[in-house]
Amino acid sequence: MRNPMRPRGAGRLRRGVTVVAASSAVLLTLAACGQAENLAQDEETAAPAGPVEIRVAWWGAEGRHEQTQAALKVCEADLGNVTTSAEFTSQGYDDRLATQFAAGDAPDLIQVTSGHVTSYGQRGGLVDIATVKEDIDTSAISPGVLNQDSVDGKNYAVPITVNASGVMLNVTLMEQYGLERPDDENWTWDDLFEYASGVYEASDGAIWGLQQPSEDIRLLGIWARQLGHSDGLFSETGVGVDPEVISSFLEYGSDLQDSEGSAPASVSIEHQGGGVEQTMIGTSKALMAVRPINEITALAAATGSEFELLQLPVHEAGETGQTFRSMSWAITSDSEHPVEAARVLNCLQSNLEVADILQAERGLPANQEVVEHIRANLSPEQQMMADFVAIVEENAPEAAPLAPPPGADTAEPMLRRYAEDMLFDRISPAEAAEQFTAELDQSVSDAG
Amino acid sequence: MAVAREFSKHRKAATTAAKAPPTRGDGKAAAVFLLPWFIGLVLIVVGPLLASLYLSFTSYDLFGDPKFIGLENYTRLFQDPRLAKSLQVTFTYVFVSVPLQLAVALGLAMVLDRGVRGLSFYRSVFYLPSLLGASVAIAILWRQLFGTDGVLNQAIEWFNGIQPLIQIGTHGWVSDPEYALGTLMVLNVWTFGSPMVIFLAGLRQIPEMYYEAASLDGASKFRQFTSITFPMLTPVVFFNLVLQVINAFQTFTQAFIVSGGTGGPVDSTLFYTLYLYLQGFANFNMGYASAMAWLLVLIIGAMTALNFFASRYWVFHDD
Repeated sequence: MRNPMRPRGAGRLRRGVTVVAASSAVLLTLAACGQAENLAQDEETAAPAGPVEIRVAWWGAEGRHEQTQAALKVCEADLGNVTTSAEFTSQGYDDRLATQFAAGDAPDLIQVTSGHVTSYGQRGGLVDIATVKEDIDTSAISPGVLNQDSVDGKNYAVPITVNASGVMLNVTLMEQYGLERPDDENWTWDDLFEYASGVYEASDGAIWGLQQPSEDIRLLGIWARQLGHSDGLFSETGVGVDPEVISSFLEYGSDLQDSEGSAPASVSIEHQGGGVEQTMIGTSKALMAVRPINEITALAAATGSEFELLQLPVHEAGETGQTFRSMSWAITSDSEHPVEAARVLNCLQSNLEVADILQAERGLPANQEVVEHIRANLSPEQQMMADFVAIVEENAPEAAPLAPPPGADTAEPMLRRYAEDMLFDRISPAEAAEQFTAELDQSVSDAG
Repeated sequence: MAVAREFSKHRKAATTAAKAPPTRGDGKAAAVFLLPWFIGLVLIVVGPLLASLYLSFTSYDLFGDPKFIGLENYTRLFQDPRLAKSLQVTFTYVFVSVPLQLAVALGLAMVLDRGVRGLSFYRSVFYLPSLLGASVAIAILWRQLFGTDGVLNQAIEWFNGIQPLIQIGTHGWVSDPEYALGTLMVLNVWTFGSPMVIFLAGLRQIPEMYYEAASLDGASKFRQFTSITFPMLTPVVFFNLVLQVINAFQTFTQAFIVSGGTGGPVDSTLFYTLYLYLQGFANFNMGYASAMAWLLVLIIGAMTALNFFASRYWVFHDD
């Protein structure tokens, strides 16, 4: 019964084999052509004939995606020979970017934070901005902000927002529990401690004074600068400060927890690590928190409360030690068209028509001409941020802290781990500081 | 009986016919049909597998080219305290949650096997967690249930309130390092559905006559379980054990979501795969992560081999 079918079927299959073999040969050739084309394009970068496509990647929420795509359209029209393709995501940005870098397929222009700039920049993943300086006008960005993430004197990104750490105060909660406003005029860490420790009792156990600060690696850097280590937390070989500096920082958090100035460990830790709306301050369980100031808008939205920004406390009559931190645009080394990418970058950070679209959704713009242009539209919170930044700029030390060396990318989760161990009373602040230092130094030496 | 005998005779005839010597062209046809799968296997499985084997002997940060460093990654494995911690977490999880999960699965399968009304409904309901257990949504829900203000703590407080005798402490079930791993184990036990369905099928295979004979001889229900049900079911238990052990070693999603991607608090849920991921994609030590992956292959292989070896002593084969 099956035999009559066989010859016909087999013949067809044999032809099939030929077709498959032939088509895979074609595919292989096409792939080879693709490569050849890439090579050819590399040589042509100096004078591209037609419009070149620039891939632009960012993370954010829905509103940002729409605004940024509209802004890119404006830039396309403005630049003429450039088309853009948008690659945006609301989560998993880092993983995707790392994978794309590994595959040699990173987008041309990427939105980055300070952490990206150092870890990608040090590994040769980003273009030195000095090589495309004819196409990017950074004159409207203050030098302190522009050089905040420099690595070995090189800038691998152009800041688009300016941000810093500050103390968020939930004014609505403060009034609700009849608390006095803390006196933040030149206040010290002891002043903050004393104020925060009274909140739990004054509110009948409803809220705690300060969100647990000991997991905040940036605050630790500022703490070190306030104690006279102007390079901040890091040196080229790992931790650049004595364990005592770190220990004093951790002890502050531990003492705060013991005095009910911040919540017990399991409550605090449950609220770390998520988005800002899951934090102690974002869930109205803490009156104050040290956070990046641009979160004030999101905090106000999440809690429905009114917030105020207070300057960071200092040590007894000391320096503010403040540092800037930003969101930036960077050009990847994989880009075949760094010049065009630079032009798109420049358009996004300085074009006033673009500024009208983007407003201050990413945070307070770093470009001061843009800030002037949109000042009338700034919300009260953004206005507060602008004032805050002006004060920080006035008092911040000249020198920016050293960038974390390769292998220190994980300092943040590492500090969190030791801080948590300490908050659960499993190790002392001194032990935590010592172990943190040893592990970070080891991680840096492994990477070197 | 006669029908069955007739059927098996025909079947036998059919299979023998199919075993006629292959004619030319058969192999090629098979090759063509296998080609799409084969291309997938080579590109998606074998290629990356070999690449990771190579990378495990290199220092590779994803950006530059991999640098060959010989066995350095492998020697580092033995000096890494966090790796030791992640092995401890993973082994604890496997050794505690897999037996518990299988026990719950077997228990429920036996209850359902008694011919409960609406069996297919219960079977579906109990199977559901197996489909959902490793999903992000459930892990987030789990975080809510076991939070300091979560449903569990509220239930405990309510229970403490209605009676004075038994007072249970409330904890941050996912944020306290003492309890976080236990919470994830409960989540794993909860996904007992797929082994349960397999147990149920196994129970159906045990001939009723054994139980009838045992009842006539006056064997208790417990004796029937230890002397008939369990021995007859051991091949199925073994199958479930092997699968669930391999699965448990590869646990990732639950720990990733519940701990916010850190393995915290204080590395108490630092599963092996999670640490591997962090080394590769957060620390950019892709070479080291590859070496870790191969160590995991060896561990799972060894555990499975051990399972097969031990099975000689407890798995009962009917034939």
